[in-house]
Amino acid sequence: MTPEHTAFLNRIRAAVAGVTTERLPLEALLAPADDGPPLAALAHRTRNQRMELLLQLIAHAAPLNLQVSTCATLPEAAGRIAAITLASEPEFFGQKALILHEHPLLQALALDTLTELKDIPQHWTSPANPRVRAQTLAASIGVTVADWGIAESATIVQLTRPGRPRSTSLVPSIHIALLPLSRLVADLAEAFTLVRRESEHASMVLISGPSKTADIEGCMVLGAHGPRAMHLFVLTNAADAAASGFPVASCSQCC
Amino acid sequence: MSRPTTVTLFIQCLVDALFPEVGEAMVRIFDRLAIPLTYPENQTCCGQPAYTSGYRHEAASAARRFIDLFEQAEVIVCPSGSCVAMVRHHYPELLKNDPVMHQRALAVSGKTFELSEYLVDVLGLTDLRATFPGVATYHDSCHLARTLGIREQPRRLLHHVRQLRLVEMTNSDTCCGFGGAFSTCYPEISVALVDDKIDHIVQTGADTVVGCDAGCLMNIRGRATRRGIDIRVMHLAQVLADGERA
Amino acid sequence: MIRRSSPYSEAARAGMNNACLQKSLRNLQARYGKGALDIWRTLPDPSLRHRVKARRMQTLAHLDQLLALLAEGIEAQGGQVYFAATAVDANRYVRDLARKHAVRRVVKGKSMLSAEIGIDAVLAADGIEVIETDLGEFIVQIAGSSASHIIAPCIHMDRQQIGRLFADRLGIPYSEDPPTLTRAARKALREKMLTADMGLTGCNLACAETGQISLVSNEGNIRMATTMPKIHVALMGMERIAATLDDQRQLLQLLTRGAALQKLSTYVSFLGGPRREGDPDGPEVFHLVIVDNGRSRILADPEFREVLACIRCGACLNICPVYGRIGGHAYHSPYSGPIGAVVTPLLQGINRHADLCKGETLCGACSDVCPVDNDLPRMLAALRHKLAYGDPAWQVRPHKRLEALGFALWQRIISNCWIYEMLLRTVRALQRPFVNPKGMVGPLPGLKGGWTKGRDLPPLAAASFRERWRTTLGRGRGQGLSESHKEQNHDA
Repeated sequence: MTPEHTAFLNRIRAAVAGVTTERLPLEALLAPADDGPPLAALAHRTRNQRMELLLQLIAHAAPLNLQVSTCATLPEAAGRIAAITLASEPEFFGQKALILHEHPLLQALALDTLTELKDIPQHWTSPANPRVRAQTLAASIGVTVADWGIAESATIVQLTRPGRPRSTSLVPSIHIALLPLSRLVADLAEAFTLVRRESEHASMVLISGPSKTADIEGCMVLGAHGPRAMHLFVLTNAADAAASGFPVASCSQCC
Repeated sequence: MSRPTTVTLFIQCLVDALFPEVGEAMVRIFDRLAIPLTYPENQTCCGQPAYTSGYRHEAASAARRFIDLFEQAEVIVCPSGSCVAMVRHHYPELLKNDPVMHQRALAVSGKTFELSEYLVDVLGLTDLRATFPGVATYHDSCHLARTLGIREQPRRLLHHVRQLRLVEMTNSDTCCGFGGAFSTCYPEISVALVDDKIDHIVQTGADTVVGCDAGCLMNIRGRATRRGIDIRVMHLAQVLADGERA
Repeated sequence: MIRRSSPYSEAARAGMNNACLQKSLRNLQARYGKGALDIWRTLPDPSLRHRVKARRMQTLAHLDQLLALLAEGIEAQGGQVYFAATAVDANRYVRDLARKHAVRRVVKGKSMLSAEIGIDAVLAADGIEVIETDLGEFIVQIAGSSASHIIAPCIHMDRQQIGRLFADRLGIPYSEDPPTLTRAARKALREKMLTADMGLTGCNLACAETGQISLVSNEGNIRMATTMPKIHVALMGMERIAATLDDQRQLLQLLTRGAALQKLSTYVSFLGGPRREGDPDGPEVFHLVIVDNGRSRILADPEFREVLACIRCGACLNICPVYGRIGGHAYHSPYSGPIGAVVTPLLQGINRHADLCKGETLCGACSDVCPVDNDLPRMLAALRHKLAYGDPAWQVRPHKRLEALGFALWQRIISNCWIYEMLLRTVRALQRPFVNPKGMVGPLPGLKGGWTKGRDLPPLAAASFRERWRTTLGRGRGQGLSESHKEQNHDA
């Protein structure tokens, strides 16, 4: 710590001392909230209860222009992604292209085997790929897997990991995210309980729909600087999710 | 049968000098309820104008004088939310450096009430058997509604007034723009706010606006007459004053 | 007591005459101010704001320790932290950093702190292109104007003005269609954000426990500015820190509800350092500049410390009837509305901003709507107290000698009922020529000119209440107060 920094903090300490007589020890101040109840709620949540959360997610997503649909199988999800890709118009370049997170679930989709997508370039954000940035900039659709979904606010949590960069859900015009049902939690408090335990302080972003602004005369417009459209596919078949090697949350009894 | 508590009248300076009919109406209300009244004739001002403008020495001097004059009262009732807020919320704090005065201020605070609050919460009355023909809308004064939390009591009293229909205006509790010295020092902003208030009153179709603070009423009436808008501006006391013997 | 024209009054008048601004403010307040009140009223836990406030105050009481912990956390992740005592220090640090990295283009996320310290001019003086990316801030930047609301910066401009501005400055055909205009800005700014050397943002809320800062936005520009350029610099007011992740969560949820009635803004970013090993994107360099610039002085004053609990949601702007008429430019500060009226004098000079201390009605709507239960009217009253008599601790001179004399005189008058009554009788005698046929006093020059310019005044009543009590109302009532008092003494 530099002398400047010490002086800065000392000035604060002096300011505080004039008004506050008693300070807690730092450990007491930083004592985290009791994790027990949210973890118990997560552990005991049944598949049916999660399906109810899904209904909440869908209801809350509607006014946010977040397009939510359910897929029972990976091939169904792959087909939907292909359909969106074919129906979309590229915004910034003449050519459509996909950029995908390097994630077992997305690899299991096997999009590159779909004939309808044969003319559309698909790239992976592998750490070994030196052209990730250029390919992301040229892509019209970015595809990611959400770490968690939050029903209460129709939000997905996207942690930054090696091979799973931030720009994939940000730079292309359209963002498609997949979420296994087992990863859907009720509210932000539950989500943060998991974040605290599992994120290792990686950078992360909470995303609740496509980007928007109402700065001009209060008129809402979708597509400010982030994606102008966002699709969320909730995978309701756990077998596929498990088969792709995606750890199924921190509980043992989920769907 | 215990004798009723004597009410000591705390008459706001604006009421004393400009709207004595409001004070008279209060007297009629309590006379109809057969409640004995006293009035310390040397009272002048609770000190709020000085306090709001930042002159706390002068305000404290007014507070000490008020306490001297009023502390023997059984109960003190005032037709102004802002004055009651001054006594209840600011007197103890103004005099906190003098332990004796501070205690006396607390004692006086504990027995000072706004009119509608006294009638409804202390006396338990909502129907004064009053009559006042007309269509009225009610303006929530800032200190009364926010500092003292008094919103329902005037409405409950008004609902029981015979031949009076009560309609709510949009934004009834938005500030009318008086703010004491603000109205004189920042008149354009003040007038813009009272214009909004008057527009909301007119939108209700009421022929009368009722309030519990002479400052607000003076502000509303002053702008309405200048704009040529014909609307009765009445204090709650005036609406409740006349009717059958309770 | 009447101010001749002052910057505050002049700008207020201009705001009141701006039809577009008035319409925008009306819509904003009808929806967002009341909407926030409704949300607080229907919270499952009615004591939430009170508890959050207590926690904020506890956090402020440990601010030095928490900032030290935050700095440790960020440095452990490869970031750098600079503690800037003043605006000058902060600007110099960022400028030197820009020079070191040969920065030519900076993209900004909306940051009121950046406006407070005036960083744009410092970087521009070095020939650096500084571009606001929040659509509203971008619009006011290219218009050469300034923000008039902390969440919705360009509400004082209508679509026609913006259309002409974009035709002129972006070279597009004239349009006044908001989606078309937004798409034009999207395209123009995308290129800037993807080629900028540095992203410069604020910080909504840092977290000591996690060593991260959080940033909220709906547009995605902040994500862009913190992901694509090589360097990210975040400016943080030193009070904008939560102790634990749970605190941060609660404050974020209050922030997004207070600001725009949202459960969460479209994007909430959490970051605490440069890109990690294996990350294909993210900045290579991250600097957090923690700024004091007068905040420690506020922290030291028990009367004003609570203003540091503010999370800058803007709900108070959305409910204030004064702000709702005059707009943000009247405050001459990046911080407008009720929060601006308190924080601007405290940061930039109480005498200099006397109008902000006195130019509102203390109606209390702001404290009703504040998500952290701040009592702004109490602090405005305290500021007025300082202006009344001066205050060496805050370098305040007494504001108006004439006003002080007036209240000294007022005290004499109300302390003596005889003088008070004589004064009333005198005015009553003199007022007759001024009373018009409506029975009111019309426009008057001079002292009372302020009131009577727009409103009639009632004349003094022919007989005061006191006089009526003496002559009729009080007669025959038996024991007065003084008599019963005498009796008690006699009995004792």
